[in-house]
Amino acid sequence: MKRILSVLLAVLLVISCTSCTKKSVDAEEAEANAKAISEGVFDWDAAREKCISDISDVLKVILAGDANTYASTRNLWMARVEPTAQISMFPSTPPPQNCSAVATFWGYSAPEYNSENAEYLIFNARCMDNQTLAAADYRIVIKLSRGNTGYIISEFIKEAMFV
Amino acid sequence: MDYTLFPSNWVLSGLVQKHSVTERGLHDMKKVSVCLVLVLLVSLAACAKKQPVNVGVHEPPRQTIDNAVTYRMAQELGDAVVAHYLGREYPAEYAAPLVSLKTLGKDTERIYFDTAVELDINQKISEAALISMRLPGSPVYRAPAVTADDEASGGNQFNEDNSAVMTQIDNFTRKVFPDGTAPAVAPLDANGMITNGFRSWFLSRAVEIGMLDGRIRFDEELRPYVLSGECSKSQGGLVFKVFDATYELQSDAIGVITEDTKTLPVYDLIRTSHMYFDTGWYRAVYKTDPNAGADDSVTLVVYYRYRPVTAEDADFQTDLDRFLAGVVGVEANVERGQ
Repeated sequence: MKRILSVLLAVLLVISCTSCTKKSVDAEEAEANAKAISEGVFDWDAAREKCISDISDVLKVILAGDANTYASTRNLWMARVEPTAQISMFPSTPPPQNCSAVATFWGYSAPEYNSENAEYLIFNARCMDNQTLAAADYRIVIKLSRGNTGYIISEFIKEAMFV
Repeated sequence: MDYTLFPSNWVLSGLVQKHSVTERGLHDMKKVSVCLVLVLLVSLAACAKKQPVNVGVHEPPRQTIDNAVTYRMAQELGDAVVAHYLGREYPAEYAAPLVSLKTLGKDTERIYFDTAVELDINQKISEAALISMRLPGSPVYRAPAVTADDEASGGNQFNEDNSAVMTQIDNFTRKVFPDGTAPAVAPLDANGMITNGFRSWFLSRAVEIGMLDGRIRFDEELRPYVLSGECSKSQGGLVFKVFDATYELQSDAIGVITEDTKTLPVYDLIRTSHMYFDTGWYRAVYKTDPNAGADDSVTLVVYYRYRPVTAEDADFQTDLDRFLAGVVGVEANVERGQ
């Protein structure tokens, strides 16, 4: 009995430690980012690369995630999306179920190469019904803005590919 | 040596020391082992958190946008794409990459008429065929035997001057056969069906004398239709004369035609945004000019990709030629509103 209790306590300890570590790491990271940005030494290129990687995964959830994953991803990301872009990026209804999706990064537009003088990412995405194998292709354009602690998403455009 | 004070020192100093281990030492070792396991678990958890799940595929490889000239040409090509898509004029030098791009206006769509139109036309063809068989000039015409009375009256009852024949010809036939003679085309084949030759002759004649709208065509199964591009206002609109009746097509059935995209103010577009990506993708959005006076609005999105031509032997006269040679996948799509 004592052994079981000990093991349980150990597991709880590990979980709480990990959680605390994560929170503190995130907070520390945000603080460090804010400091680096204010000092003008923040590595925006590296941040953008991370953005690309993160968004690729999020797009798959947006296009074909199951309802629970969609809801949790939505909650997790809302803070990184400007209110004006939240509905277009995370519609209130979850994506079609029983589908699979892939998202491929297609490029970055620097401020000097677009009419808005902003930063844009473009992705190509395909969503396929697991039963019928019917597929739909999309192009997703994301406008990035530079916030106090890193990039935030300020525009989200999802376009069905032309037939 | 107090091993409990600082386990890492203990580890570093080497467990392989050949000292004898006391009872207390064994007890301490258990405590240290538990601590080590916990530390290990925490470390593993931290490591797992730090490992990003990188399943996104980064492709295609990045390319550097070479200069502002390319960027400017990209925008100009975007404008040319729109003009091509709308069937409007644009500089000829931009035509090469747009060859495979279709236009928004679909002028060659077949718009079929109601079956009533087909029945009306076929009925008139049959009437004309039957009449023509009884008129001089037809290959199947057989002159009736001339009686003594006829000879005495000085004529043939089917002669154009013969009133007995002419009374059989109503207004329709007077127009089709104004001189009372038939064309030298057999109206029926061996199976008693209207021949294609007679059908063609009659339909041409009907158009010629204004009884049938000349825009009406016939498919392989002889069903009447009209090409969407021939339904424009300048070509007569949606109303078609079919002998004694007129038929009107629904504008929904026609869709968008080139005359519309060339002339309607809703297609007077202005570029509202454009972006050029480091992989060569270009995207531009055009919308109806708010000053064009259009009741509606459309949004047109253009995409294409520029991939620099690397062949050393490629001989280009200008930067524009070199740029256009690298353009692929031109697309344009229009949507109502937005």
